This record gives sequence, C-alpha cells and structure tokens, in this order.
Amino acid sequence: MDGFTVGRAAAQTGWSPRMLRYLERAGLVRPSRSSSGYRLYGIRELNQLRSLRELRRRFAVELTDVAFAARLRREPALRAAVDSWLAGTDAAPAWVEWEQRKHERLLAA
Amino acid sequence: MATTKRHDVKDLSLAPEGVRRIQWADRQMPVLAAIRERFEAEQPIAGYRVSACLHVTTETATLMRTLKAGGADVVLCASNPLSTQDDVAAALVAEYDVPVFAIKGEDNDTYYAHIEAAVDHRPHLTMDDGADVIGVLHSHRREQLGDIIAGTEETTTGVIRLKALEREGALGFPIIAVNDALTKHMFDNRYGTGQSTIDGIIRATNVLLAGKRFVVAGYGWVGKGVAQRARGLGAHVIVTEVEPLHALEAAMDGFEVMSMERAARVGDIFCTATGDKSVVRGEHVEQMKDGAILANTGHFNVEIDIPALRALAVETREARQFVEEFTLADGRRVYLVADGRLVNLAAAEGHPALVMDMSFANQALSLEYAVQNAAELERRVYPVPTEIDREIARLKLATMGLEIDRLTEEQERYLASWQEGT
Repeated sequence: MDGFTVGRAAAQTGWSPRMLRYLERAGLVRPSRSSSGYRLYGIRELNQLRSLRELRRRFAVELTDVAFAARLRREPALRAAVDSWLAGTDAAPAWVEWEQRKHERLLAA
Repeated sequence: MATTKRHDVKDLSLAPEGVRRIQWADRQMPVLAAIRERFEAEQPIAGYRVSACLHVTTETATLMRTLKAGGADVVLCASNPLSTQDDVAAALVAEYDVPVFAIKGEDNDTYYAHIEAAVDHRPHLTMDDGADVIGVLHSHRREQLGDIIAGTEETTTGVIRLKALEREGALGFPIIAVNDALTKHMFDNRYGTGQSTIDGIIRATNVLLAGKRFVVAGYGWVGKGVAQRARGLGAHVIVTEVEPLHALEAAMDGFEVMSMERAARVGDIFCTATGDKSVVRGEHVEQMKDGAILANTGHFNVEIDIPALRALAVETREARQFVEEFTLADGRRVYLVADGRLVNLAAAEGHPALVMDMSFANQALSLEYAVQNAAELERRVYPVPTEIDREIARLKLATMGLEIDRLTEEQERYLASWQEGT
C-alpha cells in the first residue's frame, strides 16, 4: 500500500482532514508525501491516528501534551534542559547529560 | 576552496572563525602534526573511504586534516548532537574539503539521519566514539559490512558493547580499541582527568587542598592521577579499593589504604573514580564529618548514592554555583559538587587539546595499521599494537625536545641472546 490521502485517512480514522493537518503541524502524525506533493498516510500513521484517542483518554493528556512529548524526543537540548531543571540543577552542560544517556544505552544493549 | 560535495552544517559563513580556532588547536597538537607531515609524504591511506563519528570539535578537525593528508576520502558526523561546534563544521566543509553532517542541537531524527549519511559514504574504515556508525552497520546496513577493513572505537563503553558482539560471533569487521592504548590512557585518564578533576573541585568549592584528608575511591588510571595530584597539592590522600592488586599498589605508592566505612569518618573531601555505582552510600554519609565535600569523576552520576543522600537530608540548598548543601538531621552539613556528575566536565573544562593529541594520534596510526594489516585482521576487538604506542611516545618525546638512549649493538646482542637462552 502506498498510503491513504488525507480524505481517506480521515474517513478511516474518524478525524477531520483539518485535524489531520493540525496533527502534522504539531509533529504528532507525520505522513509522507507523494511525488506530486499529496500527503500519504501509511499503516503506521493510520494506527497512530486510531490509537490517539485511547492515549488521551487513558492518561488524561491533551494533544498539546503529546506534542510536547514529541518535541522532547526530537530535541535533545530541550530534553536535557528539562531533565536538569526537574532535578533542580543545571550544573552540567547539556552535552554531558546526553553523553551519559548514550553510554547507559550502550551498556544496556 | 568551496566544496560541492554533499554535507549538512549550520552555516558555511562561520568557516573563518572555525579555521582560526582549528589552527589554534593544531598548535597544541604537535604529535598529530608530525603524523600529518609523514602522511602527506607517504600517503598510507590513499583512496580509502573513512566514515568518522566523533565530537565535532577543533581537535577532531585536526584529526580529519591528518587523515585527509594521508590520502583518505573522509566524511564526519557527530557522536553527540550537543557538542558540535558549528564553526568547525563549516570550516571543515569550506576550507578543508571534508564533508560534515552535524548541526549543534539537531533533533534525534536529524542526528541519526546524519549517521546514515556518513554510512552512505560506503566506508572502508570507520571511527566511532560510542559505536554509532558500527551500530548502524550492524543493524540495517549489514550489506555494507563486507566492504569494511576495520573500525576504531574511542570509548570504554563502546568497547564493552563491541566485545559482547565479538563473544556472540556477531562482530562484522575488526575493531581497534583505541581506549586501551597506553599513550591514550596515560594522558587521557591519569594526566588529563587527574588534573581537570582537581581543577573542577577547586573551581567549584575554592577549597584549600593542603592539609585536607582527601579520599579517592578507586585506584585505576583516573584514581591514580587524582591521588598523585592531590598529594602534590599537600593533601593527605586516602585510597579505597576493592581490587587487591590496585590496593597494594596504592599502599606501596605511599597512600593510606582503608575501607570506605573507615575513610568516611575521617575524610574532608571524597572523590569517586571507580566506574561502579553506590560507592559512597547513605551509611557512609551518616558517618561523615561536618563540611565533607563529595565529588565524582567516574563516567556516570551513580557513584555517589544521591537518592540516599537526599533521603538523609532535612534541608538542601545551593551553597554556591555547582555546590549543593545537604543538612542532616543532627545539623551536620555535607556538600555535593556538580550533582555528582563528572566533576571535570561539569565544573572545569575537560581535556586540553594536548591530551586529545595523544588519543587522536592513536586513531590516525590505528587506521594506517588496519590498512597495512588488512589481510591478517579477523573479526575481533584488538588492542592498539604496542609498536603504535611506542611510536607515539617517540613522537611525543621528540616534540618535547627530549632525547633518550639507544641500545648499542653489543647491548642488543646481549638482550637477544638472553631472551633466546630462556
């Protein structure tokens, strides 16, 4: 399957096309693009769209919360800064924090 | 000289500043400079494609220039998305014709896309600082494993991971573990970390070390460096250990050796350098004197049991920058430096370029060795060959203007016959 257009993906998942475009802008569900520039939703994106309501309901989170969680995943500097703020210290430069996580992952692998 | 090759850096207009700073680092790296001169003449890695994944810094730029001088076709990506120096990345692309894929603060997707871009270079040789390129090649780019002669790994944790792969028979090409080289260890751990650890503790606390009881946990390379430097500043140094040979060495080097349980009661300053967790625990903190200072210079902030320390405290506050004060129930106060993170990086400036000179000299000569010995190398993790270590020591001595003696023919014959006779 190459993927569904916005209209078909919306019909399949119960979100409006406008909402789908919002979710893309917020970095939550990111479709690929056809050669002519149309949004194409694959199985992964369709599954994300279907399970998004359940995620919100179970943990009582808003879309903006999920969008921020996505930013934390994408932006290591932001994550490191939030981590050290929560820990109540920003003693170490952010890259040291990142280095520690990387090496912990290596040892856990 | 502008390049038209594929690259991804923040802003090429930053190049002139990068060039200036690379030239400065270059002057602090005489061993690599000597290697570069020879590489230029001999072209030992001519035509080989190299994918390097290292911190994109001025020191790394000097290594890239050295490989390039040796004829290699090299690309560079970052081994940490937050340590990239954008001006250096720009200078490598615009001035030194080395394609770079690295932007400071890049998101995770871009970081990994940049590692993929380095792998797209179809390397014959790889260089890693934390096994990123090796990891990609061993997962979804396995079809390229056959093209690779060898790779180098800079870090201990990377080597631990690669040795595990070797044991499983899953290592796809030979690896040279640069961290094992004596000329790396000696400078990086003993002298580099040894000095910057003390530097970090002093900058953070402004404590006078003379006359203090300074407890060093762990008498490995780093612990030795810290212990010797603390003693040089007039501290009374106590060593704690779990390994009998290290403990014996510490005792014979003239340090007091005791258990942490006893050291906890007498120490003024504690510095962990073990690589293990919970070396300083709640039960130790309970015994400590008022005003005790705790710092860590091991990789991770787990050597001091910080949750236990928090649990014991009735009050905490920032005593000064990098120093947190914990008040215990009976009013005693204990001070934690830099939240128990690597004190030399958190509160001081890490390694000077001169230390990186030795590490990267090992990287450069290890690649040359891999090319020369490609036929014999198996899919194993190798230490840096002793002859490379010795060559780097020779070069370093030469840059210091120091001469050493040579064996006379008679001495060589004598040693040879002695060795044959045994």
